[in-house]
Amino acid sequence: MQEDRYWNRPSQTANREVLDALHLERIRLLVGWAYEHSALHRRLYDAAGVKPGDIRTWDDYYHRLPFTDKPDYLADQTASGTFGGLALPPESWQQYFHTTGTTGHFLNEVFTQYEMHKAGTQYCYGLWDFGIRPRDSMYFCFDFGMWIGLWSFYWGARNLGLTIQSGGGMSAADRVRQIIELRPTIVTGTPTYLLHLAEVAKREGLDVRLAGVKMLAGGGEAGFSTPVTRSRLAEEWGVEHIYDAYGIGEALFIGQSCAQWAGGVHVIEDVCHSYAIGLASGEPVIGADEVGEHVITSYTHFAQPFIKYRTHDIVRIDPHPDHGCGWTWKHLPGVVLGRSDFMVTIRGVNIYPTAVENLIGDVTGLANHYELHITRVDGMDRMLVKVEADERCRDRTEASERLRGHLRAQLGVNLEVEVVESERLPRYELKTRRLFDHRSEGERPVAAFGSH
Amino acid sequence: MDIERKPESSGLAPETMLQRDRLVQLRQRLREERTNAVSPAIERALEMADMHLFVGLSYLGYTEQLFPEE
Repeated sequence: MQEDRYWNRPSQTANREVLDALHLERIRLLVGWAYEHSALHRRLYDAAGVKPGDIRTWDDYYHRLPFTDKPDYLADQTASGTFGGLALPPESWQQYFHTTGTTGHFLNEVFTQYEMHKAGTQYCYGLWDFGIRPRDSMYFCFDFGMWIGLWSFYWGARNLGLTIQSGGGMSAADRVRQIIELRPTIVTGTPTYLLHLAEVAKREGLDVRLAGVKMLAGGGEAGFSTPVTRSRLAEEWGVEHIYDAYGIGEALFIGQSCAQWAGGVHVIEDVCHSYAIGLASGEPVIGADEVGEHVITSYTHFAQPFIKYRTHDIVRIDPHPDHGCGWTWKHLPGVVLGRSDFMVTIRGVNIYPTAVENLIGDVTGLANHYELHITRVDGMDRMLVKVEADERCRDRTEASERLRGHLRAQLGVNLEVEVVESERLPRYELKTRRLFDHRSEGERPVAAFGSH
Repeated sequence: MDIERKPESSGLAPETMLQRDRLVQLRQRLREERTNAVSPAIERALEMADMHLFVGLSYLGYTEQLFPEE
């Protein structure tokens, strides 16, 4: 066939009416499947007085079908001793995983062979748009463990036909040497770890730019969508492209950036339906400028269906993006703007830690390595922002003041700030731990609205 | 590769040979669809389907090709 810049033009450029009709049909079939095969879904739907045949319109989906949430699956997981929301028997299972446990509890996941293959397709849309082809190669900076996000990137590379280069079981310095030797087209990792590799390279007297890497790819953290971090990565690695991916463990990386970087990612509408709900109302958010909690239905995972599933990620959804890429799929500017289930109230001001993370990237002289420590003193929540200085920082006290002033100007509240020396904070190979909530269980807030 | 050519007899059971013939025809059809794929995604999906189909053919004593891309 002729060269095409779109991985799957028929759906990737279809108009909204066509896409929405397809979504509704898939959702109706999936609800029926889940009701017939998953005890959890049958229980939830019966409790809500809903039968699959009742879900015929978008209004039915939005207002009659109950939300699902991680606690539903965790409770079912505990009761079954295996997996929550199961809809397929063990003979269909191929591999176990679990989520990263960001919210404190691991959700066990099991995938069938088809699902692992299908999940791999999710990556191809963005990579193909950037001009990545089967002649290219992808280097993985990780040891393969239970975190599904990394595995699914690997499946994506396989699906696209890339040459895979594994840096598993190696030290950071050895990985840098191997990257320079193998000259992969793409190096994949979290933004934090890729910056760490660049630091290690300098320490070892190596120039990672000599590797000729064309693209850095990954996700799991906000860095790939933060302008300062993006430019820093591009400079340190000498790459042309930075590829951002957004996802949740339950549905994998369902958002991918296109070649025309517009500050966010497109929803991969071949593999999920995505919409946002008002944080207080639970009603669908209509306006492209409004923020809401991201709710998804996955078309990838049938062993454990995730239907109208609350991600608790705060997003803004542009249903009609027009930034020149030609994709018609929804766009999430800024990717994840915060977490609906993790809000801190500092002197009466509601603050989402992700907002603080994004603002740190605006201040020159500060590195991408930081920690947010939340404590409660005399009944008041406090947040200490610890961030590393980079080589451009001449005076850490002055940098602290600049960051404190920037946070005050943007958030309207004074946070405690401590700028520490470079490489004082720990480095993580996978998802970096940023948040340290030192409050007791009873002092932590509970999610805002109910189950529907 | 000429996949329309009838595979040579290998002494396998008649029903095995018949299934092999049917799969060879199926592969021919698959390859035509691959040529006419409307997107790289479809083209790649059919390429991988061809690999799986070729594994099936290899179980049936198919020797016209050693591997799908030959």
